[in-house]
Amino acid sequence: MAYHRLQLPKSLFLTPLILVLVLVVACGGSAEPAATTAPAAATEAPTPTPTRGVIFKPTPTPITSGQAAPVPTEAPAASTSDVIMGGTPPLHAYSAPDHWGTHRSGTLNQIMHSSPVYNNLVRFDPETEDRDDIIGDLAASWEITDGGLSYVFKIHEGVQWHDGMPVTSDDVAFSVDRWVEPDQPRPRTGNAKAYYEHGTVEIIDPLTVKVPLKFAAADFFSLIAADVFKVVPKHVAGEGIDVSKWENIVGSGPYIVEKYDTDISTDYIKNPNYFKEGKPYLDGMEYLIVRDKGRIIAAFKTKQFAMASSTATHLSVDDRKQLVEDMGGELIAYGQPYGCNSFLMFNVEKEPYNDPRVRHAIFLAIHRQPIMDAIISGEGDYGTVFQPGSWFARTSEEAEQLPGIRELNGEKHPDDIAEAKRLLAEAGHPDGFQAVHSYRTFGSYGEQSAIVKDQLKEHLNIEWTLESFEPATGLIKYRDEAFNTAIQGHCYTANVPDSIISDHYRLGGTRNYTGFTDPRIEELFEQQARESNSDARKAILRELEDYILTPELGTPSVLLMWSWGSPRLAHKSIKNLYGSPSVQAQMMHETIWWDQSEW
Amino acid sequence: MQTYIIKRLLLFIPTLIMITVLVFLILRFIPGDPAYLVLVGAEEGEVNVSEKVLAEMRAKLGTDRPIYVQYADWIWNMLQLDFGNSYHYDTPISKDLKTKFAVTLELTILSVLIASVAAVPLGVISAIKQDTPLDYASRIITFSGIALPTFWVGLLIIYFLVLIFEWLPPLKYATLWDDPWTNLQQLMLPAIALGYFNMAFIARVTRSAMLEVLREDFIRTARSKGLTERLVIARHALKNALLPVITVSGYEFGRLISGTVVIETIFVVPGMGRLLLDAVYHRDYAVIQAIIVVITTVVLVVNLILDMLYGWLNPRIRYT
Repeated sequence: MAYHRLQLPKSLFLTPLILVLVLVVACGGSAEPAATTAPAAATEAPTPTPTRGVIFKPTPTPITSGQAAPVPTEAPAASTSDVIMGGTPPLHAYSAPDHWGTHRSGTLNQIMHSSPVYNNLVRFDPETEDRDDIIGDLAASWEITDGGLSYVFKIHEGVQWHDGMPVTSDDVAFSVDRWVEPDQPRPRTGNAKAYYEHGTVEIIDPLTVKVPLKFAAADFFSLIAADVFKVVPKHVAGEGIDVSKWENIVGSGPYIVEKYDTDISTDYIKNPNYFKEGKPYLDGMEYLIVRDKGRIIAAFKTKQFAMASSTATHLSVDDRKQLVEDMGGELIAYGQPYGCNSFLMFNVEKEPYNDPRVRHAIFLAIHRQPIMDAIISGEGDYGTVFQPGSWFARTSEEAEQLPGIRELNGEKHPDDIAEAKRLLAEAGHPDGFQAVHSYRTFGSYGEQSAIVKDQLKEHLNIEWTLESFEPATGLIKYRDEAFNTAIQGHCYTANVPDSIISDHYRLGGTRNYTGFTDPRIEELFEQQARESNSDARKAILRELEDYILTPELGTPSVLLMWSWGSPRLAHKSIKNLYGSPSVQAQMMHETIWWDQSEW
Repeated sequence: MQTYIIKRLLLFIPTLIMITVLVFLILRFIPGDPAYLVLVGAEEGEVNVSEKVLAEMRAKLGTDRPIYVQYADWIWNMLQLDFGNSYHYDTPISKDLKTKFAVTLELTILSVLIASVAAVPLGVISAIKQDTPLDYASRIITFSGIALPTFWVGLLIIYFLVLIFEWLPPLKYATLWDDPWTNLQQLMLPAIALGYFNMAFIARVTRSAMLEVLREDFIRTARSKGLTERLVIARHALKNALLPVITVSGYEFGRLISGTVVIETIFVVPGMGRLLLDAVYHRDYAVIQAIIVVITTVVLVVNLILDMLYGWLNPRIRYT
């Protein structure tokens, strides 16, 4: 029927030419001119220097009974005459938010999106190199009363929610209770349960609340300065409106979510009624969600990103260093203290790992340096329990001398292997054993598992079969305790001892998946948390650390390495940005500005 | 022909039923509790969610009901063109599907277009200039296209654009209706990356078909009638060689509509592939099921159209 209708165009053989034209269209004439800036020395992390043993300022200020309230400081800032107002820079977002519920937030992908919309009571000062300096956010002032057992916060007058309603102490009290709401998932804010009893907050007057603590806890103040501890409106969240949906969010913060395109981008606009005069300096921000590593690098190079919205970027250490170097001073990596680690965790309920001697033997047999070299190009540090460089931990040099950590001529120390073999034999496994090890196909958990597997085979004849789970399945396996050993990472809400101890070694800890608990740890935890003298506290923490590393206890989490997380990347045109005290802080972006003349 | 079409349409029903049962059951048998993941996220969640809260979430999602009830409910709603809400984002699936499907469809059409437009001349030249430098060059291009993984081609495109032009298409997606120029810039490159493999494959098929047809008696007859070589190739050889090409193009269309996940991720294209990836990551059963049903339907329809096209192109094929 239509046999003759098929008329082939004469230009059939010209089609390759058409394709070339199409390519030209695709490449567009709008290509920006090539950057002509003279290559400068690569600017890598002005602070802190990523060398071992950096001592960061002790944190926090020890509480003394009846201590006068620290004088709150409103962000001192760089000279405001330097400030350039306006602009809507594009920021990289490594992932779409699972949800927008700030108190449900367990990972950066949630808090980095919701943080600019809300305020904290107090926060880490975003405009200083002093990473431990805490300033008021909603709180205009605060006072420590009852011998350190209560905090009285007075909030700023005239603060409005984005819907025009006033922010009152009622909202603050509601939020404080919501941080520790029973039965609800509170992976980060739930850390406050150690200090605060749900339902005990008192409203003094419309602008004042009193937060009683269970004991005079030194770390409480640092903890609530992390970005997850937001104040949310009672008239919204308390009325059954689902604030984990972006459309429902009503904050008081510097930005308002104008639009969220699921898994594509978030547009923020400046809050015109923000209570901090002149802030935010930007007109808005555009978060663009890109997951592919190659595309992220390309986007930074072609100035499609002015900065990263958080410290997470999907880039490995080598990728990041190379990118910073390639961009010759255009891109800056803002560092932070070691706030993340990677650890091997045991199911302490399952054989053979229910035997502390087996756990300790593995702790002794693992050689950490090759893991750090392979995974983070050596840019990490040894640790036992606490992060080196913090005021409460051993220095790197001290840690390097410890059994399990130490080396001999660059190799695993033979005495540690001998002791590990002895312990294993004592536990009834003189010839090693076979077991299944699990890992989630996320980050470098697979690579780390492979290295540890080889080391255990070599040193203890422990033969692991590796079993991988995609991330969601892995979490279910953890929840159901359906694993023997697994490698997992963690970045702490605040780099304070309480967070670290609670997350790993106490019941309910976010990284204590198999219900490990020990009365001596509980006792020492309580002691140190109440200790107001920092030297005395440090001594208790040292005792606790040593206890965790005894074969009698057998640590449930073998620290493999401490790392930065990763530094925050920003183009040089982004000004007034500083490294954050932890990966869970400094995501409000109210104090940065964008000098587009340098863009 | 009408009877044939009706028969084929009726056959859609058991095929779709089978697909829905399969996808529904497979999703329920793989590990992962959507309620849990809604509560804690899939990335680095915590485990301390009480059974009470979990039970409430399961009830809200409906995953606490017997499987057959869930299935029947899903099918019933789908018959009313209601795909329900995303488990994870609690947003209407049909709204997301509408926008994302349009993006993937546009990408697929562009890709097939690019592939077909380039592949046919390449295959024809390769056949009529068999064993000449032109043929060798064509073979290098086509074998490379088949051998190189699509994602790698995508990365190379990005790499060279950055290296040479220091330029990439804008990241923030613009729709064809809002900003056609930006949209074209954004989709052309992934379409080329996807189209390269298809182009190579179709060119190989075209070449083989042409070589076969060129040896047929009727070609010899056409030449002996004194027709010019151009007419012999264009009017007689190519038309007969095109049938397998169309088959392959149709197949590729179906494959592409369901297989753009990686390229969409690399080029930041907010299509159905990315939606599917995200849904799998979050165990968003409702979204996964909806996407698979849509893809299946598209593939069935494309196959039907192809079969009808055969009959139109070749009168010797008759459907009853």
